[in-house]
Amino acid sequence: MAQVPPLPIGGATGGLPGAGPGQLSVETTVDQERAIAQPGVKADELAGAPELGFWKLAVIRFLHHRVATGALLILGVIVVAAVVVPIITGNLYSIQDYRHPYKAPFQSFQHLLGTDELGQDELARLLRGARVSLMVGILAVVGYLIIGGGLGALAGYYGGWLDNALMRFTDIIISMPFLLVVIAVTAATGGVRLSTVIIVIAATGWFEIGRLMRAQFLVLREQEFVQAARALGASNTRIILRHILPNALAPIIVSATLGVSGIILLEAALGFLGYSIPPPEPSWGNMLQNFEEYLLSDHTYLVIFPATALVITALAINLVGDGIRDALDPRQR
Amino acid sequence: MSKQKQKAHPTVVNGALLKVQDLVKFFPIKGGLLQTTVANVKAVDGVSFEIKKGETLGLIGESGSGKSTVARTILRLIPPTSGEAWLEGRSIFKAKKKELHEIRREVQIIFQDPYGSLNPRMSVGEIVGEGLLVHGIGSAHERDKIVSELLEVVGLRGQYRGRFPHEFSGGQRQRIGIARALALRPKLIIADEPVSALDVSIQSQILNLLEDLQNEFDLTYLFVAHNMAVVEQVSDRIAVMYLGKIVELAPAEQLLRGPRHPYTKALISVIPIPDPTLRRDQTVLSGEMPSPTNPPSGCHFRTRCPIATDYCAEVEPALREVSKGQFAACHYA
Amino acid sequence: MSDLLRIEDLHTQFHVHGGTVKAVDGVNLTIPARATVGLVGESGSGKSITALSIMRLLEKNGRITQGHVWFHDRDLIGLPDEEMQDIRGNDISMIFQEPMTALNPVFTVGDQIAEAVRLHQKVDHQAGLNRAIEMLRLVGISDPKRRAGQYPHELSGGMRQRVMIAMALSTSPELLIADEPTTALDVTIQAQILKLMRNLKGEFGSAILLITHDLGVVAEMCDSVAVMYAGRIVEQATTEELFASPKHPYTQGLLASIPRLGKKQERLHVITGSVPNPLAVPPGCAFRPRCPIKAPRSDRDIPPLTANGSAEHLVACWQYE
Repeated sequence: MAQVPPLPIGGATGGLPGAGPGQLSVETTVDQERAIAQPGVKADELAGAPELGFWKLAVIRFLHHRVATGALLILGVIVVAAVVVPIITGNLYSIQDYRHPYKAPFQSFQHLLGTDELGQDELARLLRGARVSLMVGILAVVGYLIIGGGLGALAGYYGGWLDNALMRFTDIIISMPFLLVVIAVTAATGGVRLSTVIIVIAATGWFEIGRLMRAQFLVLREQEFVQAARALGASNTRIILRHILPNALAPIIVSATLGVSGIILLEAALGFLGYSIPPPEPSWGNMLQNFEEYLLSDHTYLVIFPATALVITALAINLVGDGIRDALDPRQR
Repeated sequence: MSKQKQKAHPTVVNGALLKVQDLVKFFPIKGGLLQTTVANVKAVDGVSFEIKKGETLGLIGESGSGKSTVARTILRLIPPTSGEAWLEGRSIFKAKKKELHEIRREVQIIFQDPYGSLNPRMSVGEIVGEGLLVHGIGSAHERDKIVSELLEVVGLRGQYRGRFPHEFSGGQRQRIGIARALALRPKLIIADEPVSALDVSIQSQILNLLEDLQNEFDLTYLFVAHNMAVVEQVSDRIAVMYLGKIVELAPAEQLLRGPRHPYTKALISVIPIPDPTLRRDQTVLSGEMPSPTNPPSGCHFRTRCPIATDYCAEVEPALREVSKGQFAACHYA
Repeated sequence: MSDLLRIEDLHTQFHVHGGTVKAVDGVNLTIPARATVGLVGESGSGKSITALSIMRLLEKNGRITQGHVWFHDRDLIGLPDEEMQDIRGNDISMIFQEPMTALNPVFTVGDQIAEAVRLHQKVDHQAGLNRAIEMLRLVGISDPKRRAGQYPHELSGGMRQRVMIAMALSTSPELLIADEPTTALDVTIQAQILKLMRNLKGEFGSAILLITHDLGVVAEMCDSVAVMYAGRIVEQATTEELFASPKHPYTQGLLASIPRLGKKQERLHVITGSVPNPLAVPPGCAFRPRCPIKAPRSDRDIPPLTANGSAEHLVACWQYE
């Protein structure tokens, strides 16, 4: 729902000389053609709309989005479980129960999701692994947003030589072979560490958001509402934060949420290659390390559980992202 | 329009509110590997005029004539290449950041596009109140009150503060844009094609509103448009632009009755008039406006001029007074 | 003059989120052969949808629900798609407001005109191209051979509109539908295009349905004119008659509200009220809420378009009953 018919205008006058209510209250719409393409609700339905700030309205719109709200709930449960449960269970994830390797799931409460080849509890490892996966995913995307968002915004807003320099820099980053960088940095810093993984992913993967941000800023800075704000005397900071950014966010959010799930999968791939967090610390990635073995064995659950967790989390994040994007659009009521 | 203007002779300008002198704006075209300037788009090529307090100066021209660039350069929304502009004797182009901030309280702009000129993610109250906020005028509560009053002044309901632009029709949005321009109580309003995106019946409403506001708030207008009938309706004097230059400048009635520049003559002769009984001799100009990157030598208009001579190619005609108060840039005017 | 196109009680509806929009709601209009008929209205009046309905080029959510469009003796509404395609661009051509979007950016304009010719005439590409160059010369493009080899983006707006006209006329259509052909152009270029259309009309003998919001253009170009409001024609007359003595309150208001060149008004006339929500058009006369007269019956019954004064002046208003 995008276009709402014009509001009925009453006889509001400002007490102007020679301007009766009839003359000032006249209105006809120029967007009838659009209204035909996409008409909206009746204006009267909006008459009682309370006066709320943009962000409050955005929250309300988000909560009206059932799928997104559901996804957010699921995501919340996963995050809370990943944060809280390992604290309670301590080092359960790394206790090797030699008597019960490959214990099938749903057989006992002691190992609800069974155990792996070392007899480590699968549920405890899944939750502990969620920490790693979510942390890598979220922190690296925050890195994307800071580096890519920041540089893209600067390049797009100020243009000129700064734009040129930043774009050439982006070209260099894009042309760097990711795996070689990971291997080189790992070797140089003396071994696999989670912080290294996050930093390398963030430092090499921000360009997509950077380019998106730049493109958005390039278009938006020429918009007349931005010119109007400048004419009013608004500062660059205000123009960027209040006028350009809120209008630039939609594709950035989609890209960022896709980024989180992409990075979780990337970490899984790195784990699979042995370049992410080493055992006994679990991540969804290294839990999937031996997936082709498990897939052909009787222990498919050892693939299914982390894979399912991965898919559900990625999906939830993407749905939340879609919800945020829609919520930021005031045309979505 | 207002009484005081009708008394004053429109071209004898002492203590002009706005004075523009030799304004030049070139947009460089970058090319090559090093992004050097390979050519210039000579959008505005030496424009001078004055606007007296309370007066409306119409600035008319076809697309590419540079009229909008003049408007935006005066506001320093785009930096001028050279020239000078003074608001009540204060230099606009030399103004430091703080002085510019003050000048922007006194000069405001209304845009053409009722869709692009309002930030879709800000409520009407935030849009209209932004100038007050930026200049630190009043408390939040006082600002709300002022905004409501402004909305009533332009013929909208004060309660519409909390709504978003998409809920309004084109004409209503244009009123919101006008309220925003009024908020800081400016002395000069630059109206850049304020009615050309509107339907005929809305056009007359907005034009009437602009006249009412001029009387009510002692406003001075620079009214930029391409429609001669509209410009004539609101203007005391009219300046005609062609390819970056003013070719004729005269009191409105004088210009319409006795145009002296061949371009003005042709322009007036081809405007469709809603009267089928009227049979006029039309001067349909051949060809199109040359590229402002490479304007013709001598007189810019000579390539389409019905009376051009070799002399026109050699010597550029100056804007000179051809009869009392009427200026034309033609050797044969 | 015989009738070339006769629209009878045409209804076109759009199914949209929130209901059904009656974009065209019972339009009757006759276009005599070789005549230029103006169709005037503001945004959303249904004038463009009427044109698209004649061409049967409606968007997916639009449907002609009722009525006939007689072209000679054939009803275009019931025609199989293939036969309609044969008429489109051949017997009836259309030009649009924005020529850039109507031209394909990856083909030269010469090739595009040649293809348009070859769609309807069995000629080889070279013959089509020759025709294209001939047409470009006719629409006043200098050095047509070179221009034929250029791409749309290499041409100016006025030039592109000339190309569109060349393409539309390349098959010598009997009817040319021009939807706001000069709205996107500058005044001096508009004058060129209007002059061109007048000249070509003499040469090709096509009838023109000129859709515009500009009453000045109508006065200059049209033999007769129909005024649309909220999906219906509210007044129709010869151009001179309509401008000299408009009878419908909407037409009167419209004519009074435009600024006139050389006749500065103290205050412009204004039409009060607001255009009805297309999803909730009031019963009776759709103009009633804005009408200064509000004739009796207009709150209940839709006024029919009936002859008033002369057989050629039709008005849909109860005040003349």
